Amino acid sequence: MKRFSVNNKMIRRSIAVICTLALMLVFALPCFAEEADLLIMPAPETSAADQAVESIEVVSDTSVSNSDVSDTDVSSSDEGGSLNDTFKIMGQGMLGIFVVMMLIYLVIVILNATTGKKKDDAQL
Amino acid sequence: MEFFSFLTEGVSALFAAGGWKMIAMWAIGGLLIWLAVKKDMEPSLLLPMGFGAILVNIPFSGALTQQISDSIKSVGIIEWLFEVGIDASEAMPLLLFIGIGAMIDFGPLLSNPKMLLFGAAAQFGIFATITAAYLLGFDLADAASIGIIGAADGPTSILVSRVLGSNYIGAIAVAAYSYMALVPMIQPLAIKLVTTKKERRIRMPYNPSQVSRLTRILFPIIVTIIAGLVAPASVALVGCLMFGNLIRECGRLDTLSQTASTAFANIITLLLGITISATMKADSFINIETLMIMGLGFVAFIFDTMAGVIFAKFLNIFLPKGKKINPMVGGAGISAFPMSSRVIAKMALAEDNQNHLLMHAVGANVAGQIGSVVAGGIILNILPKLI
Repeated sequence: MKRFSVNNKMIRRSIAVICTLALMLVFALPCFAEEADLLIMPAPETSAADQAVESIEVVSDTSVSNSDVSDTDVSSSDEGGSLNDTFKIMGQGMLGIFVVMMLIYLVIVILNATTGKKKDDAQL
Repeated sequence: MEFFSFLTEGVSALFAAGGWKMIAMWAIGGLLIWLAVKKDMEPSLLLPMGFGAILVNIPFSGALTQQISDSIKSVGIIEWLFEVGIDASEAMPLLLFIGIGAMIDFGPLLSNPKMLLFGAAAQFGIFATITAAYLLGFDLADAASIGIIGAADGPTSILVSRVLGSNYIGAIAVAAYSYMALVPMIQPLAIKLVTTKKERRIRMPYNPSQVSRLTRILFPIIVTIIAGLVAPASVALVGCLMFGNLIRECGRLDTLSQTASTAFANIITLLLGITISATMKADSFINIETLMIMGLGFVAFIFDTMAGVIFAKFLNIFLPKGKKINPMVGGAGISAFPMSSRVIAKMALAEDNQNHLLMHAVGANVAGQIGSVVAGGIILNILPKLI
């Protein structure tokens, strides 16, 4: 019974957190009808995306004087992306981080196994 | 009266349209200085930023580039530092990373490498905040720049937002450093929302494996190669961090290591703070977006902590009794080193005064340092293909 009540509390807390997040989303979405239209519009033309990629390469070579925004500033691009893009970034980003961390984990395990206690560090 | 007009130009500008914003920036600068001095919140960054905010918001400030006449142009020192130190190649944040790398001891992580998983999981807040920022109306590049506040790492935030060309570098830097200083308040709140008392009392014995010097030397080299192959844009970030660590661990460059972790890091920190203030001009800082960014920074840290904790709880499903992970350790996977690990250790002792989690938390915390720079590099890799 005690274990059941602890889980109950956890479930309640989890539901509270999820509801709070859902409410935030519900109130945010209707305020931006234009962005909602972007969700059902087709993806931008690749030629424009290619230009944006080229402009990023120029940004690091272009100095900014007296202005917070460079002439080739990506954020001034018309390509605002879409909500699907943010989820794509989330998926690829988390996957990429976990892949890197798992590779590093394997490397550490191999290093610890092969360069173990037996070797005298002073001999290095 | 015209004879005296040169004395009153500055004051007149304050009463012109938009002049009140400059006065508001003085107040904000004063607030940052107060937080640094009185509350000891990241004083090494907030104080220079606060003072710089005042410097750049004085009318016709000589700290900024001014066209004095048709033939005379005065180059302002703060603007010059920004152009050379940040705009040209993001040099200052990267150089600071060398100093940070020289300070970090990866030993607790190398002896307990499963903590790397929490360093990965706790970066979720970055991506959740990107989505939230996009929903609030920011475009993708600005949303990603705001989301990187969740990396809980000032240099990463500054570098990513600069490369993506965000208009909000000043607000992002202020948010990143402010929330890093507020970790002792934010993390306990987030952790208690998603854990039970029983879970917070889980004990974790610390049985570290021996770590050889060769492992310590090879680790930064191999991490740089791996991160660079997966996310080439992260090579500068990860490379500088690991270079600093290699200097520390090689054992042959003690004076360089000491210089990097003390004097060098202090010099760069001092200059970085005041340089960032070049982006804190009243016109670009005093707007509703700055407030939204402050709110989103809070969201980022909350999601980071919760994601790390929930991931630990997920792993516990598969772990046998007696080998469970205290979920709070997952919350230490953010990059706010060493504050986060200390907060988690203190929370554990508060729940059970025999439960010492510090070394586990430190392992997760340094893993978070790696995770945050990898996250920054991955965002720089992914984003240009989407916009």
